[in-house]
Amino acid sequence: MFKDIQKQLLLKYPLLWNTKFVPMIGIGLLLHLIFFGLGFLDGTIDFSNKTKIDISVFSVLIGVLLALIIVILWLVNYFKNNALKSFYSKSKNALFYEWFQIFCISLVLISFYLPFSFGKQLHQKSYFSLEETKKRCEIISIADIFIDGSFAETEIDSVASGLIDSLGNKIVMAKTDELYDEYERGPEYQYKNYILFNGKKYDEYSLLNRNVFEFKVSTRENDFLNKIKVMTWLDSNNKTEVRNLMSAYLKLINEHHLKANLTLDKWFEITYKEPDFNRFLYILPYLDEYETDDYYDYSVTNQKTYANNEEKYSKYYIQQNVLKEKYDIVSDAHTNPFFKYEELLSFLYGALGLSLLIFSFRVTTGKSWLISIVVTGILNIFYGIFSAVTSTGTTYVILILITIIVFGIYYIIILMNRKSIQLSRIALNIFLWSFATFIPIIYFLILESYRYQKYKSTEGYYFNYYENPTYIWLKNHDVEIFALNFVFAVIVLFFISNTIRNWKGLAEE
Amino acid sequence: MTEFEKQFEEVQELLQFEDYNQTVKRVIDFTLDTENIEYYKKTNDFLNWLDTNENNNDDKKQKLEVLLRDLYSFLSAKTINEHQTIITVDNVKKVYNSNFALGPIYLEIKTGEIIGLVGENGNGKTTLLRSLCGELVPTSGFIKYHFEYDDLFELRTKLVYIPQRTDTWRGSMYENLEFTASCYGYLPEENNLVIDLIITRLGLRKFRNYNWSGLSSGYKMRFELARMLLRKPKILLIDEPLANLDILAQQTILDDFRNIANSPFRPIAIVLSSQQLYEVEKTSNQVVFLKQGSQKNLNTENEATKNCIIEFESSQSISELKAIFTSIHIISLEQNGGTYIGHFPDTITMNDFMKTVVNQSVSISYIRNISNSTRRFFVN
Repeated sequence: MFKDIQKQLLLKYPLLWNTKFVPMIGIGLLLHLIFFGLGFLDGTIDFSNKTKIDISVFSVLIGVLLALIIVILWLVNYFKNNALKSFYSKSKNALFYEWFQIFCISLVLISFYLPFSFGKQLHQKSYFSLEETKKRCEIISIADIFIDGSFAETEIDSVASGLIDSLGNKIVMAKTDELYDEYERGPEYQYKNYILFNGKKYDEYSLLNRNVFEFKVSTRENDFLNKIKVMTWLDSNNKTEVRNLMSAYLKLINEHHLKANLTLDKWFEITYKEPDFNRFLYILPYLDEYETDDYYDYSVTNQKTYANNEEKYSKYYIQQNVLKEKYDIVSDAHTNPFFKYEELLSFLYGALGLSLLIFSFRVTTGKSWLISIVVTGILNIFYGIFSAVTSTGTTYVILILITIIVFGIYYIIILMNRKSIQLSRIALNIFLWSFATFIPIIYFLILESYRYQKYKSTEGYYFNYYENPTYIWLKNHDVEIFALNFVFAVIVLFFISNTIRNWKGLAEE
Repeated sequence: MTEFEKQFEEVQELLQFEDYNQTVKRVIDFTLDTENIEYYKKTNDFLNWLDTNENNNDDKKQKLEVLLRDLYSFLSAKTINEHQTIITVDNVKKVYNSNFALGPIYLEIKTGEIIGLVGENGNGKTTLLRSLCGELVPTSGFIKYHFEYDDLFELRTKLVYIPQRTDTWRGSMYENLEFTASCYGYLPEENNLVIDLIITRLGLRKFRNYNWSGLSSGYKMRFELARMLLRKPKILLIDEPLANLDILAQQTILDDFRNIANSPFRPIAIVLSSQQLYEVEKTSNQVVFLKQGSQKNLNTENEATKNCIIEFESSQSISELKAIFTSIHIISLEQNGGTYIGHFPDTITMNDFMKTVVNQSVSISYIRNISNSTRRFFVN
């Protein structure tokens, strides 16, 4: 099929034939399909935690290798003919179209990770609907209070911390001329060892001060409301709701063939210790300490054990960590976008870089291309040493900026003179490789110039670290700036490619 | 009688004498002149038939007659393209970093003409060709191209230069030609027809499926020529096209050049460099001799030196020969690698020389009057 298409293209659209656009896009899409399949496989969740499929590293390595081999084979075939080098008749925009085709092929070949992560997330998402996921995550999240949830921070004891005196007056702290940096920490505070709920005091290590587990599928507000809900159940001694929750939770455990060495009654008996809820037993959240990747043994952290036992946990266990881990994946799959803006942008830039390397090789010569690589290396080493000697962070990028401008101007002068090509092949190569960094360098330099500006605080007479609004704006819009720069680079390339056609007509000597 | 009618009569004569090979070539030339897909098809049909009926002379003759009639009726109505100057080279000099300097060169190149560049190695033939095709920029003087072009790239697409060492073609020969034709705007339906005609015209029909490495250097040159013809050039600049060809192939390719350049409807200029002096002189309209970069014009030289110069080979010694030729007032006799070059006054003719040879029984194995040949620049 490809052969017939290629034959037709050869007769009708020689450039498309030459770049092997159709077969390469076909191969690229096949690669995407394969990696979608691999991703889908990698997205398999075994809730019972018996088998683990983790082929992401393997897939990425295979993908890189495959992409590399395909690119080499493609270039060997693509470089068989070069209409520009042979001075074949070419339209004014033909070089831009050629670059665009190289770019599309490069993009499709290097972006195999996108269908991989898409397939993975799609599979993870497909286990339960959003509603079902939310419901199940809520059960697991709340149940954590009765298993091994962490304890919340209590209120600051203002008197003990020296913030107010015993009469409730604010103690004014001595002002300092020293600059506060953003990492500077406040004074050590003292915390209360109890919480107040409905006017009743509970111990800081009581069930009422335990946190729910947070899944991304549930909002923080929702989590907080859930916590209040459980606190209310406990405070009002609503045993039915608690038993219902435990029952629903154990149903999940059974559904996924997970293990627990307690029944509903036993669980309720060892944790529901009214009225203070502080003499409960800690339930081990795992069967095997290393059965999950993300959840570790909390036995030594911020916990008070019942009856001051050496061991934090009781003899009871329930595979809560497994449930948390698995449902966390489903929850993330439902809440994360399939494609991240930054990720897409990075692939666009990757393809731009690769396409420009190939394009520059195509329009200049192999020899000048290699020389340009060496020159780039030497310049970078030289600039690096120079920056190190002068010990300024921006020297390096300023030198790079000057280099881009110098090579660009040299190329234009050669083009305007209409005489011979001289060293402009090297200048053109380096300019093509670097012109897209022009705006990012300017952006970086502006950021740097604002970074160290300090302003007088409006409240006091000492200086406070303060970020300029322009700096904040620029910093917050980095992705947009890089996206715009990409569009700008493509537009500039359109004009450069037009001049390259004319430049190619210049004499050798 | 128009140029076309003259050529048509020649072809009819060729057919009369049953020189089928030559007739087929000329029929292809006429077919390409039509620039009409119907004729491309007709001639290709005939060529396909010919592949399996090579020895069927009667049918072959009949079919060729029909084809020629058809072509005549179409082409006789077509406007003939007059030969025009396409390049003027005025006082062009090219100085290299080394001590070599080409020029000053003065040339007027017209369509339909073949210009032969001759001279010893390293005397600037390639430099002149490269300057003409825009690969080198003249140090002084100018080259004016008398046709329209938008920019330098477009100019260079019209000046087709074939260097002595051509780049390797990657992939199949036929596919490369299809690519070239496609780039130059041949329609998909005429692409293969035109290529088939051109490769048959250049004797490459058998080699269409070959790869570059499987071809001899002579055929590589022919494929290069086929590719260049697909590019509809204004001028073909060919460096040493005869270098890798045997004597017979040299004659054939020069004949081909002659016919291609002199097409009544699509005339092009061909500038070629060569060491094969006599062959080039026979075919060229102008011969430019380059000695250490400077141009020697034959006619001007003739006016300056009126000598009759005869090149010959003999087994007799130089002193014997000098004694024999005193009767026809020999001015000088030089030995040049086994060949003698005799200078005589301009009153002496080749017949006088031969009479003396016969009368004195001089043993002669080769003889040539080089008074009007650039050959004399080589021996001076």
